[in-house]
Amino acid sequence: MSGSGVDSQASDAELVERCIAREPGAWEQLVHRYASLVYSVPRKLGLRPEESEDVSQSVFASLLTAMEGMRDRQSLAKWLITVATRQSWRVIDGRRASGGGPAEAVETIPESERTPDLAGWERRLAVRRALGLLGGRCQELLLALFSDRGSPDYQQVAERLGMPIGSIGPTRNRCLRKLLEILASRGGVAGPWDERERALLGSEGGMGVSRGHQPGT
Amino acid sequence: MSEENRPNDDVIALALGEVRAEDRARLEGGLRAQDAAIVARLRAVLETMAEPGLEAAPASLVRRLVSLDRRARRAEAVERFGAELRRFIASVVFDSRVNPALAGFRGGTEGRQVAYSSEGGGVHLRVSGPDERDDRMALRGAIEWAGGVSDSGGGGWVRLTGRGVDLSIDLDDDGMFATRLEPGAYQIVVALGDVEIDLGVLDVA
Repeated sequence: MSGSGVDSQASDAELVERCIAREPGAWEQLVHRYASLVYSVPRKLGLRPEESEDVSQSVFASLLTAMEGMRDRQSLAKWLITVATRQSWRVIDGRRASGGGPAEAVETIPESERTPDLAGWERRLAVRRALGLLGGRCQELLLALFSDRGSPDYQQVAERLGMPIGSIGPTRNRCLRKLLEILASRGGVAGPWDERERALLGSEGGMGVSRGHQPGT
Repeated sequence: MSEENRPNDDVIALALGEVRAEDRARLEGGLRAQDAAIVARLRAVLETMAEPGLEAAPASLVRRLVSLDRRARRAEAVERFGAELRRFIASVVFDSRVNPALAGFRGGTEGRQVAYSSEGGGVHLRVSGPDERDDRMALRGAIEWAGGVSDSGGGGWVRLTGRGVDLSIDLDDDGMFATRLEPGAYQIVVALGDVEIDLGVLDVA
C-alpha cells in the first residue's frame, strides 16, 4: 500500500466514509481491498481477462458515483458483487446477441448464475482476508495443506516448508485455531455462514474433502 | 473466541476427517453444541480454501482503478470551477466511411479512420474489426496537442461510454491509446490537463 494513511483494519463503512471525505489514501485502500473480488466475478462467469478488466473499471466508476447515496455502507462487498455480476451479464448478453465470439464457456453458463452467489463470494473474501491477516508460516502451511481438494501429502509439505513432519500436526491445529479466531473477530463466520453450517452439520461426510490420516495421528 | 470455544485436537481431527470410523460416532455423540458448530465452521472454511478462490487483479488494472478517483475529482472540479476548465466540441474533418477514396492518403486502408479537429489539437481514430486473438472491435487513437500531450498537465485519458460500459483509458506519453470494444455506439471524450475534447458519438462497428 503506497503512502496510505488509512487504517487497513477500517471497516467497509468507515472506508466508504473516508472515501467520501476524500481522505488521502482511502480510495486506494478500497481498491486494494476489493479489486480482486470484483475482477473474479466476471472471470468466474467465463469472461476473458480484458473483458473482466473492463467490467471491473465500470464497477468502480459506478461506485464513485453511488458511494455517497449508499445506505448500508457496511454492505459494500454485496453491492460490488451484485453490480459486477450485472455488468458481466450485460457483456455476456451483448456477446450472445451479436453472435460473436468463439465457442467459449460463456455459452454454457446457466441462467441461474444471473443471481449473484453473495454468500459464496463473501465466504471466499472472508477466508482470503483471514489468511492474509494470519500471514507468515501459518498462512503458508494452511495453503499448502488445504488449497487442493485432494489429500495433502504431509511428507512433501514438510520437505517444501522445511519442517519436521512431526511438527506439522500441532502447528496446523494452532494455525487453524488462529484462523477461526480471526474469522470470528471480524464477523466473517456470521450471517451467511449459518445456513451452510446447518447444512454441513446435517451432512454425512461433511465437505467432501477426503483426508487421510495424518502421519503420527 | 473464548477459551472454551477454542477447538481441541479432537474437534479439529473430526473436522478434517482424520478420525477412525469406529471412533467417529462416539466423538460426534459427545460433542457440545458449540464444538459441533465449530466442526461445521471449520469444514466450511476448509472447503472454501479448497475451491478456486479469488483471482488476483492484474497490477495494471489496480493502477487504473486507483486513478479513477483522480478523474472523479477532476470531474468535480470541472463542475465547480467550470470557467477555469475548457471544453471543446471537436468536429469531424475526415471519415473514411464517408469518403473511402481518400483513405489511402491517410496512411493505410485497414479499417475505418476518423479524424477530428478542435481548438488546440486534433484526434485521429482507427476502428478495425476482430482478429484471431479477439472477436471485439479494435479502437486505436492518437491525440495531437499543441505543445505535446506530455506538456498538457499529465494524466490524459479517453473516456468511452456506451453499451452499458463506462471506460477510461490512459493515454501514453505519445498521446496514443488502444482498446477493444463490443460493436456499438460510444460517446468519446478526451481529457488533457484542464481541457476536454468532446468527439461526440462514434459508431464502432
